[in-house]
Amino acid sequence: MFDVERLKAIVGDDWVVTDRGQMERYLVDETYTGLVMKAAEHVVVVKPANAEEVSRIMRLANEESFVVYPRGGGTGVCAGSIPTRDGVVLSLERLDKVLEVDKENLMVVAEAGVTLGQLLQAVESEDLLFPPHPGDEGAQLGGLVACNAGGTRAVKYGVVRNYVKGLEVVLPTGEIVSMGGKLLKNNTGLDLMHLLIDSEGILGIITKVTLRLYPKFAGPATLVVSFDERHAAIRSVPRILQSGVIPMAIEYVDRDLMEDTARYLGTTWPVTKGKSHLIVIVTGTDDDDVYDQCQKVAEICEKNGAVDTLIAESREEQAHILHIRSEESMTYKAQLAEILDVTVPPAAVGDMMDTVDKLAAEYHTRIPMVAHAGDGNFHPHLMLELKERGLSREVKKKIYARAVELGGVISGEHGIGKTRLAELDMCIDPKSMELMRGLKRLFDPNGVLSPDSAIK
Amino acid sequence: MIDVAGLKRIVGEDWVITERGQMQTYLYDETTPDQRLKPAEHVVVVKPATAQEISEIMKLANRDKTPVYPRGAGTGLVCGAMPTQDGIVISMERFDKIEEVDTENLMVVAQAGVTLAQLLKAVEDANLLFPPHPGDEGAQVGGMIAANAGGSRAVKYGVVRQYVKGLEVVLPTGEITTMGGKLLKNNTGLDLMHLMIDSEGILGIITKATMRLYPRFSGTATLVVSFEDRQKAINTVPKILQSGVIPMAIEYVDHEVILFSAENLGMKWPAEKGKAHLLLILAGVSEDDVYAQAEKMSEVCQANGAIDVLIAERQQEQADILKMRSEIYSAMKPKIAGDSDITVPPASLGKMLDALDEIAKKYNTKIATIAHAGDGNFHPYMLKELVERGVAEDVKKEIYKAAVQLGGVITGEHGVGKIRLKYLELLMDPKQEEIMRGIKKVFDPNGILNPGTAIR
Repeated sequence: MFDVERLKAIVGDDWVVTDRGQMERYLVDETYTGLVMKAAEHVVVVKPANAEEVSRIMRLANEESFVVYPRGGGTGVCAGSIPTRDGVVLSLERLDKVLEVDKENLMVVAEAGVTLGQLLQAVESEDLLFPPHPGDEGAQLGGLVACNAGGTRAVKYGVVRNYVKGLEVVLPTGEIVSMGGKLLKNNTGLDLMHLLIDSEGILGIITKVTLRLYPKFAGPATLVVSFDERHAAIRSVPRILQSGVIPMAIEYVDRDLMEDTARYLGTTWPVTKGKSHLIVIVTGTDDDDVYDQCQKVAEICEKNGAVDTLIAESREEQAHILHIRSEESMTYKAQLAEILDVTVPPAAVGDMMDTVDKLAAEYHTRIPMVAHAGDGNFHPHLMLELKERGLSREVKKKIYARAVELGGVISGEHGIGKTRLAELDMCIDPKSMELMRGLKRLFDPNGVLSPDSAIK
Repeated sequence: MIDVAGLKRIVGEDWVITERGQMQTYLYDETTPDQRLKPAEHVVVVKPATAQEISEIMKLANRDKTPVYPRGAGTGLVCGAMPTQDGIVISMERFDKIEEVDTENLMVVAQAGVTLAQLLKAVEDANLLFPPHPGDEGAQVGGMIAANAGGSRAVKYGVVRQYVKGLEVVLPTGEITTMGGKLLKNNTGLDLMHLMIDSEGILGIITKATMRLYPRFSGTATLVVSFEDRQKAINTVPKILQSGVIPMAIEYVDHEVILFSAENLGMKWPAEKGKAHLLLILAGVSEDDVYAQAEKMSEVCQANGAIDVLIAERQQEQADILKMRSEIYSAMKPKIAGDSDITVPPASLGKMLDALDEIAKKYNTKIATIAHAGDGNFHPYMLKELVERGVAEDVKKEIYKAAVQLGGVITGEHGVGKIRLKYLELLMDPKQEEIMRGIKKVFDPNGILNPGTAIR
């Protein structure tokens, strides 16, 4: 089907994997159990060392008509990087250098295969900060940008898009182009860079990124604020944001979910009052500022019905809280079919959660959820038993329909990948979809790059 | 040639201007007379009231292959809105309603013809803030987004792109689409909204926008920091940004340029010492916070060679300083042939200013400059005498080349419009230009929307 020898000629013998047994981990990602897609039978994994080699692979792909699946850390949850057709998986793992931490311009230049963990370390050792934290630190920068990753810290500092200032990209047809640079303002022509961000690997392969950095902040301090009922908690969120304090993160969790998780982890959740919690993480210019902000948040929440406020300032105590919050889905990973990623206007989160509760009751199932309450993005968890009963699609569609009714979308941070294509037309009109297909054809006339992903 | 009767049927007789004498203000924008192009001879101005009417106008225009020029307030500086071929000018002035200031979601929904002043007032009445301030308050929302306006306040809060969360757009082919919404995270499909931002009106006509708001600051202060020479002032900028305080604005001005502006206004510039000034605008959640920031800034500047720091806290005092700064362009206007809008990596500002000095010396002229020093964007003014001597074009090209050599671009905030097309080749590779042309064709197969703008 395709000429392995020619691939070897490009990257060297050692960097082409043809043995199925050696490539298992390149055929899967973190997609939830209930949605896993099967990799195609004939797959070759190649590991180019630089943009030039990526370019030659793409030229060969166009010449010999094989498809290419670019792959970062494989931390995606919607099968975006799974090779579902016979073809080549192009792993970016060897593009693993942080090229420059530029303190004067407050920018970092790194290759696409650098992991988030590596980046954070390089940046912190220069006493600077890359504010967003989309989760898994094994994620690679190319993937973070291609998926416009979000995470909990988006309330104050925004999603990854806000940090991307320059890209080097290999186009599907093989040209190496660079967009933007160490620039904070750039209005030259159409903004292809912002089109590449969140293109999920269908318009080009990102090989290098320039990201904006910030000085380290004082803090963080973490508050766990308890309420007797959900709506009082959710209603406090706009009050906090209106007050002038913009926390780094505002997370909503149900207390029983945190207690289950703590038990699963063999520890205890530090708060015993209330049914609903807001976890608020605050940063500032100095310790006094952080302290003032904590006080202000606590006051506002109390005025809005909070029954208890825990302020954690020590590193350990904060880490403990965040650990339980982030391991939440591990509690029932084995029973989980999939995690949804709907986003609604922030003030509609309470409504949306009520809808989910009602559906859970109606379908006699459990739908635990956590919410990035500050940005309206939240994650209802659908159980495997619901899928086994053949009902998960139906419930999912009802959740999506309500989200869209409230002015929301079906994916806020995970993306569409291959697992959400079927529902995409619930929030994208036919004309917009036609434009997206037109853009795809323009960039990739032979359809060789990451087919069947992100758009229909 | 232009179906005036058809247009009148769509918008009503009262909203079509065919008389040349009555349309003079619709034929030009704020481009300096020495740079501006000639409007076409046969132009009809229409003033639709709804997206539906614009949709019908676009369908009529496609039928007749008539060029259409969307027009906001005409505050552009690059002839972007000027009708240079016979065709239809669509003025957005009747789209003048603020539909909602949503204090719960911290969003404003406004029609495209709403002016910046109108927007600021509505937002302030709700005790909220729209942080960017791109300059002329007559500018309209649609234009600010289509041009991704910048301005001096971009240091802390970024350019207009950062605030845009939803758009309603009439496509060149007449379909009315909505993109995004009151959403802080949205990863569904390719991001057409971010492609539309900064598309300079060639991919669609923005009819409505949803933008993010923030709480009002409790305090602001303006610092005028004086240095004996420019290099010291410029070298201080990264030190400020590394300190943890991120001012809303960091502006660089030459002492003699700002004195000229003050004189022109009959005002007195408060700083007497030094040859170069940085203006820092600080904003914070409380007066204490602002005071602490001001102290820190003053320390950082003094450690880096500042000889005088003046802190203005009174409203009037701050407003006066800003007025003298923002009226520099008015003071210079009679003397200048044009200004440019280059952007370089922030830390290369000093090198760029040196390059300007050399160019000025070589051509035996003066190039006065103001700089948004915090973001590397600045505006060298070229004197009229350069045009008279026939070397203005050479000087401009040399400035552009120097910027590109430093990793910069030829426009940071004003855009390409119709007058910078010929310089695109200085920094765009042919493949990216080909893609931009391709995108234009996908959206506008007949090439009727704002032809001859932004891309070649």
